[in-house]
Amino acid sequence: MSAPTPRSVLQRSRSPRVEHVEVDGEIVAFDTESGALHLLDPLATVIWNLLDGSATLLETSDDLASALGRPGDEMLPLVLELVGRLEDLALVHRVAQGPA
Amino acid sequence: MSTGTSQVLAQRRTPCLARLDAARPWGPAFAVRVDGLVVGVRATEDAAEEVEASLRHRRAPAYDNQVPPTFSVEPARPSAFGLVYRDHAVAARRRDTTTLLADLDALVTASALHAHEAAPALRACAIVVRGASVVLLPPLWHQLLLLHQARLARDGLELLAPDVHAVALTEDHAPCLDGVPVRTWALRVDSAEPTCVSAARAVQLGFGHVANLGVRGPAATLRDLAVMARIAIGVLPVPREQLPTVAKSLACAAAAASGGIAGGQVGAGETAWGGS
Repeated sequence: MSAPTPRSVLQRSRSPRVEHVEVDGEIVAFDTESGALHLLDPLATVIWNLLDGSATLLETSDDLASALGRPGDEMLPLVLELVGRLEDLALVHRVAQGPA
Repeated sequence: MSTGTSQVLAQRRTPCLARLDAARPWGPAFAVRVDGLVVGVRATEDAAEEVEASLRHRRAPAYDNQVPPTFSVEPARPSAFGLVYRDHAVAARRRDTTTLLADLDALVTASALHAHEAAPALRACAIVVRGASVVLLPPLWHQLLLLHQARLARDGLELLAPDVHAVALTEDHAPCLDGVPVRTWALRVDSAEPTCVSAARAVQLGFGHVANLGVRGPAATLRDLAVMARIAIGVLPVPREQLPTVAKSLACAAAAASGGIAGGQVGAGETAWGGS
């Protein structure tokens, strides 16, 4: 397992400005401020559903790796990249402080 | 008559509308009210009385001097179709004025659906197959299919007058339009896309067709579209001359798949788009 990066030890949460619906394993998310509509593929949908602010991205990545039977090292870059893109789109935001 | 405050439906002024203004001897616009919306209607001078009388139950004369003519009516003549324009675009086309005025009433009623909260109002061209089922087609097809109403009618297909429809949705039943099940919602896709679109893609494609998004809100709209996505298919851009055939195929396939009465024989080479 690689050493935790600063980004990976922070938690992320879905933005309250986003409304979404899941249909057949894919998320359609509507940004109420920008008016943009986003379509998330099945893997992004799984990650999106885990972004409830309760876990760090490292923990999220480990959970995902465990569920998919894949190495954690493989999942973390995917999770970081996807969450980075969601952050750029303001669909998710950082939670200020993690749980003790 | 309602005494509450009403919103006046604005008119889109375009060069085409200016040409229409000059092309006919229009009578003055008069106001009608649907729910809380005031809509302006005008007719050619020779038909003004008849058109106004047909909408007497909706009249709101207090607004006559401040309402722009959203709808313009030309009655049917022996040598010409009767037409209803919404702004500058033809919205109804009939050989007889009685049916044309029924279309006008339906169009005026549909104008208020943008402010309707109770059900999602979808911009779509709607074809009813002999009262058994409905297929919703891309809204841009509506104006083109107006030219083929008689041909569609011969096959048992009724093109509904409005291009905005309030669709009733329940969790367990098919979406309904005035009690008739909606079997297919055909959404236009890019030529690079598969015609069998995923449900999520259908939600994305359909989002811009919800006329009352503002009053229903995005959360309810997304839920509505998730229900509609169950019956959605994608259709590629269709050449104008093939539109009636493709529309007929879609309507007949939807009716046949639901066990309803097919509107007519689907000829060789006419296959439904998407699904398989």
